[in-house]
Amino acid sequence: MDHSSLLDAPVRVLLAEDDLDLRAVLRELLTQQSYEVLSAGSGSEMLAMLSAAARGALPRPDVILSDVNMPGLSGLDLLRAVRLAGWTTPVVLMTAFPEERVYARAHQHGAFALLEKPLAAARLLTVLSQALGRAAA
Amino acid sequence: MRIVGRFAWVFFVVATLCLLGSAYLSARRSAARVDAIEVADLQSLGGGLRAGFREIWAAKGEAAAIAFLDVARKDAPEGTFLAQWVPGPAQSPVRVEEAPGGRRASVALPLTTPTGVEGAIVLTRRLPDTRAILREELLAELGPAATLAVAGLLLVVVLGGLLIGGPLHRIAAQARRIGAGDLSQRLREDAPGELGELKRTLNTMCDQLVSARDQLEREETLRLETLQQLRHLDRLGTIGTIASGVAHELGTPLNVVMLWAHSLTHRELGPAQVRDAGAMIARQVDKMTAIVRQLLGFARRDGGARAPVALADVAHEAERLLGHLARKARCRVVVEVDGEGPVVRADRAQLVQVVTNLLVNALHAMPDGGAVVLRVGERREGEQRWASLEVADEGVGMPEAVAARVFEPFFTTKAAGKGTGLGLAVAKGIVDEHDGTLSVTSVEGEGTTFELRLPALDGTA
Repeated sequence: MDHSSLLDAPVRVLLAEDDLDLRAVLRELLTQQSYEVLSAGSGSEMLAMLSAAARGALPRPDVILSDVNMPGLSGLDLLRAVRLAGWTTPVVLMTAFPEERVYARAHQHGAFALLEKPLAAARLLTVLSQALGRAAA
Repeated sequence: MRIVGRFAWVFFVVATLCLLGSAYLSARRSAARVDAIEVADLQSLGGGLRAGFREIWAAKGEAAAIAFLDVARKDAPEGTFLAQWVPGPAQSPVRVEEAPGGRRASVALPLTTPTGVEGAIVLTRRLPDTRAILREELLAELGPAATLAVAGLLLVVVLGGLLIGGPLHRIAAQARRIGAGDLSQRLREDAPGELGELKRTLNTMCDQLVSARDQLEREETLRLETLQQLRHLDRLGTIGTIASGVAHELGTPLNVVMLWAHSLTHRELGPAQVRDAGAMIARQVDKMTAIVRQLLGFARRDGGARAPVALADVAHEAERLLGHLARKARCRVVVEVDGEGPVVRADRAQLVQVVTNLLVNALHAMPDGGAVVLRVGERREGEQRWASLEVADEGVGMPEAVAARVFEPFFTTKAAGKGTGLGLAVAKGIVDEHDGTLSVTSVEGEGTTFELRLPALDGTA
């Protein structure tokens, strides 16, 4: 695909979603689009993966895709932690409760986009491409 | 019939006394008349003797005149009278007196002899015994009096039975029927006078009772319908509250199906992948069906029949219904069950409604998140075994004044439009109908615990 040939390396998506089935289908969809997917079942699991990436134990992600409503660390908490840790990686959030408060906090902490669930595949892929385009630019 | 019997006895005694009194007076009158006749006889007899006495005195002298009186006495039937010449001042003309051997009547006829002596011819006669006359008269009266009294008694018994006893008996029977709740019969309003009025009054009262009972039944039906509608409204309100949670619950499997569909239509997949995708989609549809069925079960209008229900199942169902609302509110819902948990006889849908209402309140009381514990167990109060379900939150709690009023209809501390104020009133109504209790204890800043108690059934479901 365009982005992979452009960067001459597989594009890595770090995915956090607590629903097992949704995580499975997102992984399938993104893998089909030639993304390399690393997935986590919760916010804290993703934070652990990010610190592993910071130490070089894991490849650095090119984009982060996370659910907002998860048990324990929420997507918004995760976003803040990512920014505090100094990561500039674009973060795309997904939520089934698209409330004003969530939009405001997502914007405040520099999320690239907040997608509403149910997700449309085409919209998700477009937003991911845009996020990567901005990151590359 | 006792009233007629008593009346007849009173009549009999009074009638007998009257008849006896009348007989006594009539006997007394007879006795007086006998006396008067005797006195009149003596006077007319005396008149004749006086004339003879004067002539003989004038012709033959005093001795012959006195002898004439003796002869006259002797000629008269034995012992009928005594005639005497009593010289001296005038005596009282008629005297009736008690004397040894019976009553006596005396008549004095004044006389001046041809020789100029003042005196009187006194006739004395014994009178018949008054008591003997009374006895005779009374004995003669007693027979007819007794016959009259007995005839009167029979008449009173028969007529009283026909005219009073029978109608009274029917009226009493009707009053008993009314007392027993049978309002279908009416008395015939044919009797005149007070009895007829009593019957008419009783019939009117019966009509009024019937219309009052019908009115009461109509109002009761209306009340039950209103209560049913109120509970349904409350359920719909709760559904509104949990709708966003349900949307999310449906949203995720829907999303999975949608994304698989995208993959299937945009990519060439191997047979194994297609099979996996199909299985995955089927699982999502099962999930969604279960969610929709649960929601429909909760919204169902008519209460189901009462059956044994495990209280733990009710707690779990409420937790499932509100799981997403709780997660969104950053609350944990924990169900704790002592052993197998108690079983109660109840309308399951109504109990779920009660516990759901309590759980929604608990979640609203914890704006900053926390844990709600649904504790299911058994309590003993003497012989009574209670199935208990507690809903304990770690929320803001409430002051005593508020806790005392939470079960009142339309009482709410939520902002206008946020709550109907009916949830807890409806819950309390349902619990009351199940012979249970719903109570609340609250500590401001520490949390609130609602406890639902229902009579426990033996054994488990």
